[in-house]
Amino acid sequence: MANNDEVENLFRNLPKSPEFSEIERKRQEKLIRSYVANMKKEEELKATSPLRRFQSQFSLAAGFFVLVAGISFASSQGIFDSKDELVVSMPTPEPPSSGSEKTGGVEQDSYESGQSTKPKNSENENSEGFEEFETGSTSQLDIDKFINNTGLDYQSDFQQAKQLVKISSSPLSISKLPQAYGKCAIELGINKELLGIDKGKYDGTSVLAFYYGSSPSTASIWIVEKPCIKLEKL
Amino acid sequence: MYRYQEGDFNALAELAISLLPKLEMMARRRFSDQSLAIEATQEFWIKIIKNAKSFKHDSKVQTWAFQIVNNAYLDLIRRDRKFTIAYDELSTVENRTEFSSNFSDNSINELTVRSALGSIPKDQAAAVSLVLMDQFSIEEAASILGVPAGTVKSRISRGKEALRSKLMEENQLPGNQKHV
Repeated sequence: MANNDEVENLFRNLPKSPEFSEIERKRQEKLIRSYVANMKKEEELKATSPLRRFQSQFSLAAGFFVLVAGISFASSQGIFDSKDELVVSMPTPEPPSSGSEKTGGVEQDSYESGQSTKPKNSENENSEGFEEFETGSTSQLDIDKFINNTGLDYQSDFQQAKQLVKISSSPLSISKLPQAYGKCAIELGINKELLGIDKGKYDGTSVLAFYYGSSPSTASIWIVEKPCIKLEKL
Repeated sequence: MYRYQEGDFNALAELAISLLPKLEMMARRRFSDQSLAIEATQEFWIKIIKNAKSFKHDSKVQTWAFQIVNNAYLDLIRRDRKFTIAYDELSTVENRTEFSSNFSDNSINELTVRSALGSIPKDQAAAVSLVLMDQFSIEEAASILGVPAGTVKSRISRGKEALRSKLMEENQLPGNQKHV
């Protein structure tokens, strides 16, 4: 029958893992620094968020008062009494033209991306039979504009990078991305909700930031090092 | 730690980095697989960082950190044990054979020991892991656990007895062994 000393020996003689390499130790140190830096940012955000809330509420209230004051001033001046002026101020609909649909599309696009798409329109002008090709290449162009290259450091300039990076309001098609990016998005498990990519830095190292989520306002970010090593989720 | 609690985040990073060699040692003694040891080390410093704000300065920082690490390890093996049980319930005998053949005798032994440790009461497991795995002295373990040395001794004694029964069930002790 085994006794308790055998249990003790079993524990004492358990095999140990080999020593970590210097690279691994450095990596752990780096991870600690970036983890703590993120904690600091989160703390700062928490500290500033009540102020932001107050500012937005204040500007909303101020806007409302300006509107009420404007209306009361206008009514006291008798501006709303004239029906003619009201008719004149109504916008007259533009006659439908072949370009109007496209213009709507462009506006929608620029709203989503915050980027002007005028050059594409000028390309579309004066070209018949070019439209089919253009449809395909436009979507490729759309993808390209969501592959950013801010070069900013996500550890120190995270907020700035977040503001500068253009991300799509709908998921990007992985098949249209460069192969390495698509592969990495699949590895990260975000291929169905990828909104944009940015080439930047993280603690001095060149990285890719994969923006993903169900909408731009709730997007999260994976920071990865080449080829697709997860560094940080922001 | 005072510096961090007053808002100096760099001090927290320096503290965690200064603890890394000891965390590595503890992880290496508890996991023979290096990737698991690396993962555990990471889990250990994350727990330390997350709990740093609540440190009350009623013990040495190192003692407090080792307590957190030990708890984190025990939570880890308990979580792992639940998964293993679920896996065993689902797998067939053939699958088990296949599963076993992928591991060396040592790692099977280690898995069984870890599983047994996860199945005994946590206070006993904590004392056993600190003294038998990390090779802290009884007094050091007492300081880490915040109990008298006599309590540590009795917890180890009861823990060893419980482990012996578990390991006998698993046929891991000499005389009954399959894999050792």
